[in-house]
Amino acid sequence: MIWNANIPPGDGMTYDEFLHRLYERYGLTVGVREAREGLLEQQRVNGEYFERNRAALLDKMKHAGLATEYSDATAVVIRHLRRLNVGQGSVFEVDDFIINGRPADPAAQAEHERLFAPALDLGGRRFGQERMAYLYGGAAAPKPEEEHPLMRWLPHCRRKLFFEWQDAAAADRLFPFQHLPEYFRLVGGDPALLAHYRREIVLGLNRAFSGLYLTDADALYVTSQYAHAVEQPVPLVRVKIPADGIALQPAPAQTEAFDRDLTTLRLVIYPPPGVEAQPVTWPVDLLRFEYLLRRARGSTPDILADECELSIRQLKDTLLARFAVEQPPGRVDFFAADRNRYTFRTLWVDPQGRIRI
Amino acid sequence: MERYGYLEEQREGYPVAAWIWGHRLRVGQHWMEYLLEFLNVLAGFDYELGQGINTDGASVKTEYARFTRLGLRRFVFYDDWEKTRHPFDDAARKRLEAALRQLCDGPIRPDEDPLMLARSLLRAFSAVEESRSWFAKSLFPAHHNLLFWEGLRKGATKFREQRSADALHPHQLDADVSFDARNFFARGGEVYYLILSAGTRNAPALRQTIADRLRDLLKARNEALGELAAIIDQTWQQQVGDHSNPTPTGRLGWIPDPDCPLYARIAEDVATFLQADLDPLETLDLLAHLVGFHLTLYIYHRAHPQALSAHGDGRCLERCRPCLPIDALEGADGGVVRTISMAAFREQEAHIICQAQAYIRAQVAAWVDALTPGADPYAALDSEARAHFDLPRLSKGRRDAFSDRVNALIRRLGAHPDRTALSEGYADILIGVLQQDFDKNFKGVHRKLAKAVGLAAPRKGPGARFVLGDNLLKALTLANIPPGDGMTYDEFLQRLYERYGLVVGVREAREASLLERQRVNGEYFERNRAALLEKMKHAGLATEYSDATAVVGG
Repeated sequence: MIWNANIPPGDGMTYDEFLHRLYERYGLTVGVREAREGLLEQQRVNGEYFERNRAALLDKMKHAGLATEYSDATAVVIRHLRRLNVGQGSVFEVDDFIINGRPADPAAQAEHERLFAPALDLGGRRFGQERMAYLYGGAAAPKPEEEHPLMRWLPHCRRKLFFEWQDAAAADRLFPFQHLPEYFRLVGGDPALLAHYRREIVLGLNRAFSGLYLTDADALYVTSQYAHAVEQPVPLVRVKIPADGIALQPAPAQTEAFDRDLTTLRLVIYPPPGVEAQPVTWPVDLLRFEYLLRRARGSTPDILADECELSIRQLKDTLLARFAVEQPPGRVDFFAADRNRYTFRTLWVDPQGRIRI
Repeated sequence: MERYGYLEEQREGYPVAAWIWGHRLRVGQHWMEYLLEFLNVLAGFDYELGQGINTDGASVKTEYARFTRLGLRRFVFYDDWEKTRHPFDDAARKRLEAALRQLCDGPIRPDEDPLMLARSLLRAFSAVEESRSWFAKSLFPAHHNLLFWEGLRKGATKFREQRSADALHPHQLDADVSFDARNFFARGGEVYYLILSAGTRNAPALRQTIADRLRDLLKARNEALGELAAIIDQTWQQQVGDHSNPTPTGRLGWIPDPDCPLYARIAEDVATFLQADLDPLETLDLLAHLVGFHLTLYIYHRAHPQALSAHGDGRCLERCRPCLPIDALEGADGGVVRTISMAAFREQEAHIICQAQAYIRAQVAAWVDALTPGADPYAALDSEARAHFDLPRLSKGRRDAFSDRVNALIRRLGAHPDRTALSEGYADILIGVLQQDFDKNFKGVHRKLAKAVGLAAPRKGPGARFVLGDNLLKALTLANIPPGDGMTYDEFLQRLYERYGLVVGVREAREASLLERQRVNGEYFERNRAALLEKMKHAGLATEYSDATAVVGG
């Protein structure tokens, strides 16, 4: 069982913890889900579409649910889940481990003691005292709106745990990045692996751009749609870039903060056939990688969306500005709901006023 | 007071809100409909600003065309689930679909039907649904050919006739749909058209740029979509043939104080914003946000306690600057900035109410001053009030209550009242009578608009405060920084304060005297500033360099 680092133990299972477990298992939250259900009524969705494509409709609501601003009460729940802020508070397993240890697992507990018991600070006792004060409270506990002194230790402890735990795999599991090991392997530069993950990144981007559960990873579709669509969204495809024209590469990054070379990933997107333009380079840091991979594997826009959506929108703007050209006259490309999936369609309107597919 | 727009000869009386904020803004208008109505008016004047005016030297055109596009909207919106079914529309749809079927090439399989596909494509642009009847729904104007004016089928909800529509000619099926309802196109878009027109009276080049850019946006982009819409509508027009009903037209309302420099500032914003090279749908969407923001700002500007006298001499931008503290921390500071922002939001609403009352008091005082000795003062005031505030349009109950209270005032003050007491007493009565209409139709406009465009949060529920949503932030950045330019983050914040009264950082908070008034530590606004920068960096709107300078745009 995971203890929430923000809530001292002894209270049984809290609502936050319950939400957290739901999130960990299903990638979505009760608050968000409830908001989505509300949407059904609010939007009075046309029954025709409901019958025609139940699955696509659900997807649309998921999309709309996260694109909508909520009332304060809902926002509180969502914001709670967003707390990746170092030292501010957390709902993640790594902090739970730092604070509570893991008495049920002797190996992990031994590691916890090795890492955190001796000399975390110069005096050797401050961390231990503050941890106890946090766990057991007492008269010295700060007011609810004030930060607990223990929080200031967390960034340091996380780093220590990450770099010093002998069993790296066990340490990685504590971090909220499900795709951290894959990221490390990709940074190593194996071409086959990079080509494979490029498809997933493309799929993740297709879903993030369109807001729909697209299934096509052969091309990157840069779409544009009416953002407040009441009915099922039908994104227009402005640019279609074959996946072969996209490269996922390790990218050396230099920062003054480190005394060794840092390698991250980047996506280099070449213009589609027939378009003369400079390629677009987009850094894929761990956060973006995690987000796109989650989307590619079926997750809805979750807590990471808030951190990533704006930069993805920025990428979309850049791609449109650089690569979009007017379609041949009379041609509209778009994604249409077709039974349980979205398919790429083209509608032609010719000068004689005839309409064809 | 000087007015700008179209003044009806026969009409003198308007609600109190119109006298302060122009004719007119109403709470029933959906936020997207401000953009839709504005673009409809602009396109109806063939993409020219400054038309439809009879106050400022008559313009060439006095009326704008209202696009009906009945064929297109029946095709898109009228279906078996329509809430206002009508046998005429059933018949019209059947005939239109049969005619369109002739235009589709190749064999039709159920899942490969070009018409179904075209319908779902166009339907996805449905801008306003709100469970309205088909004739009151609108499409998002991805192209000029998707623009049309609000319609109303007269008597549709009470229709009982059993006669078959099959024998009727297509133009008869359209005959009862009128285009002057103004249930939803309540003139808010006209007000925006007038603001841009007034703001560019002395800047013909700017006026031309804005109009040309918008024409380009609506006519030269998404052309295939436009052609599709045109084919559908023309197919119906061919059915109607020579019998087609004449194109309906409309006339503008008016706005006060045409020389108010806020109008020129809004026009500048729009011209800069339209330079941005974005996807056309994104541009229109952000423009809708900008329109809502500008109109909210316009309401606050004119609601400012100093606003009764300051417009027209150029000082009002300084003197009527609102104070809008932005809560960028989302409560992460324990809610200090949020509380300040909530108070500021309530203050704006209080200003709006006070401004209406102050206007009524000033008006009554002027009438009382002008009373001729010997005449019956009550009768004179009644005739002024009736004419100026259009009292006859109020409900009979309200009018009776008004007479009762005036009679009580007469009993209290006698036939030869003291002028001050008369002015005060009569103004109180008038405020009481006009309040209900004001509260119902105008007071909530700023709240609705600000929440819709992301200037206020939460979207629903109490505790409204000022924020900057992603879309609004992007629109404001593009409206202030032309492509290729840039400015430091601090310059940007300073500009947001000077132009709009938005308070983010400690420097602006100090200038707006917020720190003293609220007795808070400047550090909260310092964190507020950092939080907004963080957001702008995520959005790619700002870049922070290693020497800790941040640049917006560029």
